[in-house]
Amino acid sequence: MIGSAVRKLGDGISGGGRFSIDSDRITRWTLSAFGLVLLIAFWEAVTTVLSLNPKYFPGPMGVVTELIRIWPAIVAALPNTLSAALVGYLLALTLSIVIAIPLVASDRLLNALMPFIIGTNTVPRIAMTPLVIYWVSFYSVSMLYLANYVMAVWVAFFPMLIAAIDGFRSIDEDTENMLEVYGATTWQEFKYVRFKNGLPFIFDGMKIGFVLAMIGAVVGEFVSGTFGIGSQAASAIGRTSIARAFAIVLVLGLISTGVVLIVYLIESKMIFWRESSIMGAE
Amino acid sequence: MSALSERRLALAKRWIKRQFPTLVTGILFIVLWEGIARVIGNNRIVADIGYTVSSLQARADTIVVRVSETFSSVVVAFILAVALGVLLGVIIAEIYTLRQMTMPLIIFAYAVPHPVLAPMFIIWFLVGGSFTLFTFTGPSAYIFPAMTAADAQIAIGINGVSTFGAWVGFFPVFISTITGMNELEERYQHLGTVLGASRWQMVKYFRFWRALPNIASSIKSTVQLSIVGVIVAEFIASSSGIGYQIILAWKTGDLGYMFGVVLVIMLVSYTFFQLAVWTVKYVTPPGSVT
Amino acid sequence: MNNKIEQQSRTDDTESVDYTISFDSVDKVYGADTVAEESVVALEDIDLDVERGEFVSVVGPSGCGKTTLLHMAAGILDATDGSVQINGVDVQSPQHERKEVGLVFQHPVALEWRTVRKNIMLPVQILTENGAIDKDMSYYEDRADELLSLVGLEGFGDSYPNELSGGMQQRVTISQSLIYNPSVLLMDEPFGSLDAMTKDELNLELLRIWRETEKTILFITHDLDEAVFLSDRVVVLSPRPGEVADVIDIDLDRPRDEDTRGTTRFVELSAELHKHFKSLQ
Ligand SMILES: Nc1ncnc2c1ncn2[C@@H]1O[C@H](COP(=O)(O)OP(=O)(O)OP(=O)(O)O)[C@@H](O)[C@H]1O
Ligand SMILES: [Mg+2]
Repeated sequence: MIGSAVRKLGDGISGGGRFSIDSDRITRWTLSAFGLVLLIAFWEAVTTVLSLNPKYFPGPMGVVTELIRIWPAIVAALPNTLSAALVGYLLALTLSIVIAIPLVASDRLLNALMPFIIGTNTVPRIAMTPLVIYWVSFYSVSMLYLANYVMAVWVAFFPMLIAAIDGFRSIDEDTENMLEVYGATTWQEFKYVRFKNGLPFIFDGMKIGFVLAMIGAVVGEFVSGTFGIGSQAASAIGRTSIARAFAIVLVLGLISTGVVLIVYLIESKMIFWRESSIMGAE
Repeated sequence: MSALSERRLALAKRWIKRQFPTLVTGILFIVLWEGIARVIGNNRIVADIGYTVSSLQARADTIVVRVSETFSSVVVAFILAVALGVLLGVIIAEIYTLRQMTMPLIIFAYAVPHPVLAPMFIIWFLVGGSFTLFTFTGPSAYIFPAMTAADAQIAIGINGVSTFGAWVGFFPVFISTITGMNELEERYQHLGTVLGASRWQMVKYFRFWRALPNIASSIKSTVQLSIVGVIVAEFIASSSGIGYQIILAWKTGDLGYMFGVVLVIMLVSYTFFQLAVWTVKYVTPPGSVT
Repeated sequence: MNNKIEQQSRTDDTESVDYTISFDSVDKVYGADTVAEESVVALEDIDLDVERGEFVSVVGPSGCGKTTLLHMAAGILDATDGSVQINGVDVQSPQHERKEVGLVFQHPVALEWRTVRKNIMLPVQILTENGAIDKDMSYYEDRADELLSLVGLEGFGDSYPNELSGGMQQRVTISQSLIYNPSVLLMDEPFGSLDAMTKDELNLELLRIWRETEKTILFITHDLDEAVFLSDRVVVLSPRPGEVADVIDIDLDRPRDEDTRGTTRFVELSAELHKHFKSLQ
């Protein structure tokens, strides 16, 4: 639902993306840039004018200074976090598609498993983090970082699975009838209609999926303390260094935004037959 | 009369038929769990059902207190998320310049892995002071005779946990408000122009109502995410609520309790979700929530 | 039991008289297999035989079950009772030949990620893969070009459906059902969404295709004049539950053209049909 949505966020009131002229785009970018500058200036002004305690309420300058100071540490920690998030993400994505196919092909299987899938998607899966860490540490303490991978998959998988199922299933009745008239096999249904039809949904799932995989990995590190951005955030919090926590938020947010944008760009290249949106569905 | 009762019977039959898969899934889950636990035969790797239940029973009072605490926060978070989401959504949808100016920030805020922000919310409210709306005696006082009213007290308030829950749950409502408002068919726009409707009248009579179904259907995600937000805040940043109990169980290596708490969280979340969705379904025009 | 034997002997008749499409005491009840109070009787006791090469139209008020009737002939829907056969073969049996039947839907069905030409070629791909047809691809590619010009879409072969108007998309759907040259064409208000001029044009085109290729056509429409203009017979269905209320023979000369609509006979027949239709309500 949010999937089909947010494209409007970036559009002008006239809407027609195809006809928008360059000057319109320039205006939009300028406004966005101006908005950012305004926000930062306002933030800095508030912290200075009210002379807030920088320990709790750092200004943007304080955050940037702190970011530069801890940059080497962040660079050292990033590969761990990113590989857990990325590997978990790709694994969850692959699994979601591979599992969605038989579910959509067989109504009976879908009916049997859907309550479980929806139920699992409804509950806060992230609450399993300590349990997963417990199990992994039981298996091997030196490989505790595996828990972060598991959490990335566990948190990202279900929304992507539901997106894939929805996408493969959402063909209209007439198209379904048409396939039936030609006597298309299940495989032909997928090959000619369902895969393509599901793509926009899968891409929407991929956007929220990456954010979720990051959440899984970061919380895993946060709780288990294995070396990574998550555990650095935990230690920043432990010392009540809000500036450092902000710096970490900034880095993580930029990475996630970057990946979401890349997925969006690939999507708008691949799905030429409809408009894509930046924010996917959850 | 008999036609009516026959109809009732038919409806009941269908309801049972529809709930059947859920029931089977539930039973299968329990059988599978117990089966695996028996095969492994070690309550430190997989706690069996008996062990889990007895661990839970041993601390039933704590669990009830903590669960009430958590879900009071969830209610506050949910209401805050919906109210702010709709309000800000309407403003951002109405004012094009503002929408463009805040675009990067919105995308960034949406994409940032939110748990990292949870401790900041907690700290800010510790420093700035949180705000208690009212308190009441929680259900635990009535369930456990031994418990004093003071121990069972629950505070409904705006604090780090509930605001963080609101932050996480905010986006679906916010975004669908904007989308819905912008999807008003052009003919109504023209109608408004012909009637000379002011901008506020356009919002009041057309755009808001156009967005309502979108908002209603985003409520599902908001309920889920408010729960996620509150529990994440509890278990990585505060020492309150049922969320923190998992961490406690983990630190003491008490697997039975850990299983129990996770199970309770899942079950109560699921029930709360169904209740919330049912309520929203009940108060919105038919067909808005599917 | 008796009924069944009767049906059986009727079926045998059917084969000898060379009916192409035949409905034999067909009932259709929606929701018959679920809880009773929600079932809808859409069609009741339909007996309808269409001869080889015949053009039969079905008219009836909205919701009387016209689409249902057509979908049963296409094998999409199962009859609740009775049998539906095409070329003497039950449409639900595995012997039923898909390539013999083309279906044009009420609304355009075009896959938005395929170009117009590729959309037209879709049935060929599927049927070839399944061994239902075995001509060369190049044969069908040429045919696709012919069809494109036939329906007035020259130059749009490489466009995407999104770039076409609704009427143009509908013409793509029509071409799609013609590409593999089925002998039976089932059409569900195919020109309902077109403007009057294009509609008249395509009516003539359809008659020409029908004459040249000797197809059997079952045509659904809510436009009574269109039904008279095109058909050998017009079947009038009653409101729900749909039953055959009337069958009117259209004895206008063939070939028909623009002038046919001006003849007295056409006007008489049209008036008669309108009258029948009115008496239903
Ligand atoms: N899938 C379905 N489930 C239940 N009832 C249905 C279903 N499809 C159609 N019906 C009912 O069966 C009746 C016949 O429907 P059908 O679509 O065949 O009508 P139609 O004559 O084609 O109407 P129109 O002229 O509007 O296209 C209608 O009353 C409709 O409500
Ligand atoms: Mg119809």
